[in-house]
Amino acid sequence: MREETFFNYKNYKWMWIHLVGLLIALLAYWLHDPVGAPSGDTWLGYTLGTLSALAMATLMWFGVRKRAYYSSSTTLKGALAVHVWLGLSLLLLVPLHSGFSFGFNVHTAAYILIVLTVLSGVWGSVVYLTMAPEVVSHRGRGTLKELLEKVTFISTAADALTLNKSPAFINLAKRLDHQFQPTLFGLVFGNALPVIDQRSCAAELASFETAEQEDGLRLIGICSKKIEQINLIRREVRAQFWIKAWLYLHLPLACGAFAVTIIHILSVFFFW
Amino acid sequence: MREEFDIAIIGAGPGGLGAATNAAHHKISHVLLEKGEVGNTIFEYQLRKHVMAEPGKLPLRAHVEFAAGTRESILERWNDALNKFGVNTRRADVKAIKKLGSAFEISVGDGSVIIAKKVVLAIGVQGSPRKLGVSGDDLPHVSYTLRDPDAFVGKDILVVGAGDAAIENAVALSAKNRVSILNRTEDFARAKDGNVSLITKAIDSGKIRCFYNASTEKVEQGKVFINTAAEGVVELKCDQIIARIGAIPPRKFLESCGIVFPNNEMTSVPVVSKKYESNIEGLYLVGSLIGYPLIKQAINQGFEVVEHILGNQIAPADEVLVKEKIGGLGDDLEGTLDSIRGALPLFSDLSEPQYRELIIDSKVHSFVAGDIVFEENDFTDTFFNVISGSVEIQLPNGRALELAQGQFFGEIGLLSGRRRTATVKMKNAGLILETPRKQMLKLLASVDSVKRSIDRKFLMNALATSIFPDVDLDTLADVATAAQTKIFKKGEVLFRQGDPGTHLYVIRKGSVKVSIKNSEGLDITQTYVPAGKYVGEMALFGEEAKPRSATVTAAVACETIVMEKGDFQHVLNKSPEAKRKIMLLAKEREIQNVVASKDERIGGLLNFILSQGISDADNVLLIDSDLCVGCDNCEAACAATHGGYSRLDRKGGKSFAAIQIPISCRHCENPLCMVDCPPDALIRKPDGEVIIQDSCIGCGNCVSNCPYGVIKMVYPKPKYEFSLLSLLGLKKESKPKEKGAGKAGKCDMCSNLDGGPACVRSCPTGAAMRVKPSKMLEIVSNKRERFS
Repeated sequence: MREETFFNYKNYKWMWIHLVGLLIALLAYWLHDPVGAPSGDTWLGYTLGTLSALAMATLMWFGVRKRAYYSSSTTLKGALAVHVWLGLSLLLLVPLHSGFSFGFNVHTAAYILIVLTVLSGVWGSVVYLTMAPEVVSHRGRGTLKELLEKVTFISTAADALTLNKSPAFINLAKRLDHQFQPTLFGLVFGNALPVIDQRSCAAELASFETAEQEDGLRLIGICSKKIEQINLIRREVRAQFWIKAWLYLHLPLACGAFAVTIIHILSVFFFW
Repeated sequence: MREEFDIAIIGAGPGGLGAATNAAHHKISHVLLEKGEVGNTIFEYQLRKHVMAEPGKLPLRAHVEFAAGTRESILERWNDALNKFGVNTRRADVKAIKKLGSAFEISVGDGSVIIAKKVVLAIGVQGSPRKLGVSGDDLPHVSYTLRDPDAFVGKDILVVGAGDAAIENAVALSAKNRVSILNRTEDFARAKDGNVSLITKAIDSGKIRCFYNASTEKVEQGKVFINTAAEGVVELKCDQIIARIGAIPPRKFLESCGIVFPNNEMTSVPVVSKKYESNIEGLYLVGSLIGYPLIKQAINQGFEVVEHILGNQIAPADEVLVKEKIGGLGDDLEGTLDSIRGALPLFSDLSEPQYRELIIDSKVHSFVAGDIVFEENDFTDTFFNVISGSVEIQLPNGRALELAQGQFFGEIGLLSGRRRTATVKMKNAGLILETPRKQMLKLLASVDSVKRSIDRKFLMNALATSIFPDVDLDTLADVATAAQTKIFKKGEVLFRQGDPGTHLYVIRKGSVKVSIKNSEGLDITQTYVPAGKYVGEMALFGEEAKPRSATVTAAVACETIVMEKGDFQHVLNKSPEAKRKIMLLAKEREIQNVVASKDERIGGLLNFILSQGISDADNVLLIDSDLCVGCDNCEAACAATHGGYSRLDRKGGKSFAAIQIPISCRHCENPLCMVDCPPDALIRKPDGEVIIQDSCIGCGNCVSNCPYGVIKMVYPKPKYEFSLLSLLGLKKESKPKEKGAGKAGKCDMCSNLDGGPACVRSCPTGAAMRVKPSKMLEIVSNKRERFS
């Protein structure tokens, strides 16, 4: 990757910092010899638990930081780098805190929600890093509205060409002129339209009456243009969809994880 | 019929009113001649237009009232004043003014003649509107102005013309009428970019019908015949014709009266004495005719000119302003003015009013030895004269140049808009006169000797700093005398690949792009060359003619210094060191040309960036589309830090391949927004940012002058009123009021925030960046891959 992103921010500075932190935690866990099995009840358990809770608070604070437009402490990109690596660290930090003891209870529920949140975050990071170049409207190739208008325009032109033509011509038009009735699901999960097969078209075109040959050629041209536009629309919608979709999981999951973690902390102190 | 008066005042604009009311006040026999309406220029304004009273500090000295207000209130006061003083006003179109002995003979349109001992000309510079020049062009439904577009509803209207006025009228009228526009040519190239896109949009959407390459044939009641290239003569139903085909400037008339202009520049104004007397004794000129476009100045001058005619000693109204500037140098104001003038030969040809205005607009600094006047790479653009003491210029090659009394510096920043090329330090304590760019540009256009001196010095310095740093100044002086300046419009070609090389071009203002043909013969843009650098030297070595190795095109409007091959070689032969260096650079460029990728896509990206005027930018907001996820946090950040109005529009900007250029200030090197700012609220800070100060009066000039549409009117945010009904959605939210005290708003680079622009800092992916043009080229070449 040529550009610096939140992922490789300052040569993975925050990745290294978090790795070192995790190593220290691991070392402490390995050296620690508690009475009974390792768990959240030991001094190390409490320490790591407190750290994890602080980490979660920091992660949640990102929502505030994003809107702190006057802040000059760092760039939002730097803050996001911290957010990403800190989130990933939680995956290990929390089990170390609990001594890898899981069960069918609110404590494990909190961890599961944390894992889901982090995974959705990983998904989001991947989407951000890979889908951005796919956004057609950011590359001067037309906004969604313009692309749709173009398709409508081409469709009308294709219809006009097909008027009063021989059945062979109409057949070709039916095959090439894709009826564009987009659904969000189709655009996001469907396949791109294949480009026009020039060889089979040539054969068909050759069989046309001479009078229709010129219009036939024009039809192939505009249908190919239409397919290109439709594929651009698909690319735009798909990119926009994935870029936005993950956040609808990440945010509720994060709030849920935070809430359940608070319940976990309260319940621990309540039963103490 | 012959009548005689002591004073004839021609033109009932501000200058004429000031003079006429004062003449009436003194009970001198007088006549005020006007062919149109009283205050005609303002009369022609759109209804209820707000008229400003600049400059605020200048006191008004007259018997007419004038304060900022609506068109109507001002016209009413002026007409009241004429009645109150019993001014002898007459509607008359003056055809000629002839001097007969000690008096003047004024011939009027109706054939009558007026004799006057003195004449005050206050006819302004608007001139008279050009007529259609076909039969029927004086019918009542043909007009040459449009005061109120709302006065027409459901009419068939033909607007004639292709300039800004025609376009603005046509678009405004098209809201409620069926409008056609008649364009003599095939495009709207004369108009401002913003207006071109307005009219093109209106024509494309069918709102306005356009006849290209057409002319009016004749006008009849209710219809017009137009001659079109495509269909011949066409008859068009037409309730109203509005012809906006320019005006005939008053210069011809003035020259026919015997008034002399210093040169042929469009903006040149006649020279007048301290008492506003022209080269013809007894004929006085006031107001915008002599370069004073502001209403208050003109009224004051009209008042003063009558006092002068009566032989009364009167200090000019601007005395307070002069005192403010140089009062600290001594009590004898006139003496100080004269001694400064004596020290500065550059300004010896200025007329008295021009000189006074120069002083009022300038600053006199008292520096001690060692003080820094400006530093290298500062982005200031003022101009300096040494009144006393001396300064030292530290040249890049380590040498230093001393300038003493009467010499000037800062002309490179003044003419090219580029950063300062050297640091200037005070050597011996003394006084320095610092003059703003705007004032100097005005003088350059109107005083020949100022232009000649500065041009010559600029040429020498430009040659010395850009191409011949080691050549002695005497040799350069010869070359500078022989060299010429040449202006290129945006898109014009300096020379083409393959042409024989005959000239060297030093770019003095603007920038050029260099393109080379690839194997398919397509011109691929390779790079651009900014002001201060030169192009065309590669084909000038050796005796035989060599072909150009690249095509060079003006990326924006450019000014170049053109030097002939012979002169170029002459200098080189005198300085082997310079020759060696230039040869080396030429070889480097040759290698670059063969090595450089002739990739169409890179060329395309470069072309896109140049077409967006980025080569003229000092700092531009770019968004890397490979990283941008379109979250628009940049806009949110901008709005949050700028009173709720975002100064950047990401989606509205243009994009190409991996680069988006949002609509956002580029902090141009030659900012067009600054050209016409009445209170001078737009300034460029030493580090290059163009900012709008609080003194903005909200006139909107910069908004329409910016070719990139980055300036918007902003309004104070309405107070949020809490209401339970609106919370429940039961009451309509009242829209924020967008009238009233608006101000111009644009990107200020968040100069009041630590850590740089909020938009860039708030980008989560690092896609947004504010970059200098040099960095931009780097980014572009890094974008070689990942294209589509």
